[in-house]
Amino acid sequence: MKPDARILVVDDEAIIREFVSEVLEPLDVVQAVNGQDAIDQIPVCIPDLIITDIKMPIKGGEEVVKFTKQFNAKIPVIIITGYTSLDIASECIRMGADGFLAKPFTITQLREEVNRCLEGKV
Amino acid sequence: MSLLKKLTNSGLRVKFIAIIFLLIIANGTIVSYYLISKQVENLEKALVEKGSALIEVLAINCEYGVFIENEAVLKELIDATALAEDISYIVIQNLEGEVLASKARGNTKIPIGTSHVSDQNSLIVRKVTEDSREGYFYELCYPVVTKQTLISKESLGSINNSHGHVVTETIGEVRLALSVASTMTKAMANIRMAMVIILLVMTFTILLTFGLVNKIVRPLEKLAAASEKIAEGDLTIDIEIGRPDEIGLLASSFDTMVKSLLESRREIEGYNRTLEEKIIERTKELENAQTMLIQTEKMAAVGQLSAGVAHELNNPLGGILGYAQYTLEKMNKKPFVDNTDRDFEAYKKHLRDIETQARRCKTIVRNLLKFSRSTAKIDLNDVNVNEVIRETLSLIEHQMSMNKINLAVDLEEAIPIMQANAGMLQQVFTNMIINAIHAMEESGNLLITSRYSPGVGEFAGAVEISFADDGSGIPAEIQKNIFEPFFTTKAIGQGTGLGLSVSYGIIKDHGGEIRVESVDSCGTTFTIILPLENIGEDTDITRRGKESLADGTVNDQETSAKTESQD
Repeated sequence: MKPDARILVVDDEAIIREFVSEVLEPLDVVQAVNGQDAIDQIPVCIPDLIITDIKMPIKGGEEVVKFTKQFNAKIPVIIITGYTSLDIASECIRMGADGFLAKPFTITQLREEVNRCLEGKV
Repeated sequence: MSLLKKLTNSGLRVKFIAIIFLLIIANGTIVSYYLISKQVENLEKALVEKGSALIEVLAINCEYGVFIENEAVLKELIDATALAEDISYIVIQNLEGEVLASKARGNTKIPIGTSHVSDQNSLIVRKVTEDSREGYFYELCYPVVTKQTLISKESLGSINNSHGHVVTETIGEVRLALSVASTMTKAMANIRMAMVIILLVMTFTILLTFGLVNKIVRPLEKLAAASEKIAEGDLTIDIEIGRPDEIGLLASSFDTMVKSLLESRREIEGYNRTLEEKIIERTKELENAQTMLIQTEKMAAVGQLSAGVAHELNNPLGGILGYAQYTLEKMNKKPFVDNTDRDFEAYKKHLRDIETQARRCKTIVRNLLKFSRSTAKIDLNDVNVNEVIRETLSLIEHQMSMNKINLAVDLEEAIPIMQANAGMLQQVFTNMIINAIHAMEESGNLLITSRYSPGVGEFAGAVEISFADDGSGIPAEIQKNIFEPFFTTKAIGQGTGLGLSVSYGIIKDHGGEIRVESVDSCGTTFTIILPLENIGEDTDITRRGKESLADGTVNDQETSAKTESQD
C-alpha cells in the first residue's frame, strides 16, 4: 500500500466513511458526504484514489465517476454500493470506474481492492 | 237511510235475521189481514142472509096486519121475530111512512123515513154508518104486498072465477136493522185465537230462523276468523266443523289449504335458512379473499421495496461487518495486556458503533415485518398519522433517492390522535409513494403533507394526507378507472393493478375517502381524508377494532424518523 497516498471516501453514511478511514490508516483519508461535496473537493485535494457510494443525495456516484474521469482519468475510482441490483454499478464501470465492492464488504476485500487500484495506478 | 246503511255494513248474521224477520212479519201481517177481513165479510154476509130470510117471512106474515093497519097484530109478529139478539130494531110502516108497529132493542133510536122500497118491490140492504157511535149496522127493507083478484063484471057470479086478474099491490114496508157489533164480538174471539196462533207460528219461525242462521253463519264466522288469523301470519289454526254438508266441505278444504300453506311456508323458511347460511359462508369466503387480496398487494409492494430495504440494511451491515473485523484484527495484533487505554477506548467506540448499526438493522427488519404482517386481524388503535408516514418513509426513502426523487415532507405536528389501523394506513401510504415514484420515472419532486381540517366536505373533523408529485399525471379519460381492481397502466410485472383499489377499500373501511387531482404531464395529487369521528358504525374495521381494542398493540417507540427534506 502506497503509504503517502491520499484517498477520498464519498458516502452519505457516516459509519461507512469512518470505518473505511480507520481501516485504511495510516493512509491520508479525506471524506466527502455526497457527490457534490466530492466534486468540490477533488480539484483541491487531488486524491490518488476515490472510493464512492452510488446512491447519495444531491449528486450520486455516477457524477463523481464522470467528473473524476474528466478531471483526471488516471485517478482510480472504486464503487461501493448497498444495492443488490448491479445495473447502476455496471453503468459506473462502463463510465470508467476501476473497482467495485458490494456492501457489506470485509476489510480484506477493501484493502485488496484499494491495493489493486493503487498499484495499477503506479 | 242510516239504518239501511247500517244494515248493509253489518255482518251476515244480522242481515240474515233482519231480512227473515221482516219477511215473517210482513207475511204474518198480510195473512192475518186477509183472514180477518174475510172472516168479517163472511160473518156479515151470513148476518144479512139471515136478516133477509127473517124480513121476507115477516113481510109476508104482516100483510094482513098492514092491510088493516092493526098495531096489535103487527106487534105480536114483531115480538116473535125480534127475539134474535143481533136485531136492533124492527119497524113496520105504511107507504106514507107512518109507523104501524115497531120494536127496538134497548134504547136504540129508530130512524124515521122510508126507503121507497115499494118502487122496487124487492129487498134493499143498506149499510148505515152511525154518527153517534163507532160502528155501523145493516138496514134491510122489504115491501109488504097484498094480492087482489080483480073479477070482471062479466064473470061476476060465475062459479069458476079462475079467469079473475090477480093484482099485486105494495101496502107498506118492513125495516129491520141488524147490529154487526154482537156478531163482531163473537167473531173477534175467533180472530184473537187466530192471531195468537199466527204469533206463535211467527215466534217459532223466528226462533227457528235464529237457529238456522247460527247453523249457517257460525261456521262461516269461524272461517272468517281463521282467514283473519292467516292474514296475520298465524298458520297453526285448525278449523274443525265436522259437518258433512257444503259448509263442512268448505271448512275441510280451507283446512287442507292452510295445511299446505303452512308446509310451503316451512319449506320457504327452510330455503331462507339455507340461503342465509350460504350468504354467511360466501361473505366469509369473500372476506377471506379480500384479506388475501390485501396481503397479495402488500407483498407485491414489499417486492418493490426490497431493493431499497436491502440498501438500507447493507449500509449498517457494512459498518457492523467492517468494525467487527477491524476490531478483531487490531486485538489479534498484540497481546491483550499490551493494549493501552487508548486502544480500549477505540474498541469500545467500535463496539458502540456496531451496536448502533445493529439496532438500525433491527428497526428496519421489524418495520418490514410489521408492514408484511397479514392484516387478517384488523386492529383499531390510537394512531398518530405522522408516525405512520414516518415509518412508511423509513422503508421507502431509499427507493425514492434511488429514483432521484426529491422528497419534501410537511407534517402538521398538532394533528390529533385518531382511531385507525396503522398497518393498513401504512400500506395505503406505501402504495401512494410507489405510484408517485413510477409516475416520475427518472426524477421528480414528491411533497407529502399532513394537516388537520376542522371540516372537509361531509366530515366534521378530519386528517388530510396528501401526496403531490410532478410526474406524468393521469390522463383525464382514465381517472375514473384508477380505483378499479386490476386496472393498471404499468408494464406487466410492474404492478398488480390492485394497489389503488385495495387502498380505496382500506380508506373506505376507515370511513374516509381518496380524492385525486391530476393534470396530464404536470403531476398528480392524491389526498386521503380520514375522519376523526365518523368511522361508520357498521364498517368491518370498527367492529373488529372494538373487539380487539382490549389487547391493543404496543406502540413503537423506536421508530426511525428520518423526515428532513432532501432539497
